[in-house]
Amino acid sequence: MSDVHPSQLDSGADHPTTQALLGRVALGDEDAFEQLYDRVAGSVLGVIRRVLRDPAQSEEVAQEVMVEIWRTAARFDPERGGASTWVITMAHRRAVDRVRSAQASTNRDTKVALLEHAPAFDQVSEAVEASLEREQVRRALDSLTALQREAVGLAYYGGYTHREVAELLDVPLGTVKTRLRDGLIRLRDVMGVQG
Amino acid sequence: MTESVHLFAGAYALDALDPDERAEFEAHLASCPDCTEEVRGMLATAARLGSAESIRPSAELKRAVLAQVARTEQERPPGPADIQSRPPDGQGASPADTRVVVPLRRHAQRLLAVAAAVLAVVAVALSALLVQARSDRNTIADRQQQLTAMLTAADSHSVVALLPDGGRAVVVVSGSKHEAALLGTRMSALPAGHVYQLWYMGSDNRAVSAGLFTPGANGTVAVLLQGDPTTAAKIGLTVEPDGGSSQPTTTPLLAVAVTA
Repeated sequence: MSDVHPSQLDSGADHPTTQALLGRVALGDEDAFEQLYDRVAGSVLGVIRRVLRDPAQSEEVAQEVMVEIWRTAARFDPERGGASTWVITMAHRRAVDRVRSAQASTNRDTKVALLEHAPAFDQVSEAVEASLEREQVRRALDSLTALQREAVGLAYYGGYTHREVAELLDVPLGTVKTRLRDGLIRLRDVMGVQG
Repeated sequence: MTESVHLFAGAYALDALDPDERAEFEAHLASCPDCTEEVRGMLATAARLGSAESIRPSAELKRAVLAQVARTEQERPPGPADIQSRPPDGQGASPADTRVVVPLRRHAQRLLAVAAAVLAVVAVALSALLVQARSDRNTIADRQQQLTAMLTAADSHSVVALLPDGGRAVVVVSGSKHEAALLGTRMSALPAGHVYQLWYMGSDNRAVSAGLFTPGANGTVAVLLQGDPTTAAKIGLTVEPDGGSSQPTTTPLLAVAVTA
């Protein structure tokens, strides 16, 4: 449950869990979908915006993702992970697919092009809401080594492949693979995430 | 498993693999419980990085999404493509004695009375089964009505059980309809020559068979029990040789008290 915001842990009748809402959505319950929307749309839009950066394009992709959640809710499998994780993973993957397909037509292969797109890691959209969750993530990122932090940030927030991350940071691909993995393990442990 | 594939876990969870690498790693996940467990935690961790970026969406976005949802049909997964892309089910995908239902949208509101944990299993079990038995539409429609009526009966009572192998099963009993059903997800495929058998167990430990089934793709099942559950003390589930047994020959995987 650790991927659920603390305020969502209350599973009383008035505060169904995200998983319960998703279960109802899978059965075609539009009221449940609206509740689910209110709960996750901010995170969905936020993660997409962080990767795509363009506000209009981000809203467009967020709309696609929310409708996709409605359409495929019955695919969600609680055995494989939490409902919030399922939603955010879908949003992130869609944003990454979009940024890569957009950049396939431009030249993203040169290092200059990569660096031009690289987000400043501390860049925070003015629209991002200050929150305890954000603060916790920030502290967890601070616990990483510089290379872990840069690699994870470029991959997740920048939408770069591990190969591109290796090129950007000028380190071997094997090193990037390892840093992405041990960086995530470190974040998981610091934030106390249980799958 | 090669060490290099194992190292993909972090990049996979961060969506940093190329499409062919992603496919390779997902194939690897199917056969590597360690990586599956690791990826589960990593995906949850990555999602935290994402949800911390929450921003306030415009009211227009919500209007647009709700309008589009109102005219968008839901998929009844796993879709045919998904089934084809999965490894073949060693037990065969068409259990002869399994009754299949589909959740009817009109009944959704009444289903809401059922506990959330039950719904999570029910939704997966029912929707997965639809596709599996599509070749048999008329039978499905009948069974759909029968099981939907049962699930929505005012007195229906549901119990969720965690199976020893990690699968989930929901047992639903309706006293007024004198019917019971079992819905399962992620149930293990059995070795060749074996089936799951359902039982009504009396207080004297005598058991009466309530039918046989084989889970479908992804270990999902939705089956109406044969016979009347209201005279039984418990509903049980065992693994038996093909054709079933007259009395249970293995330790029950579950035994749920009938409270109808």
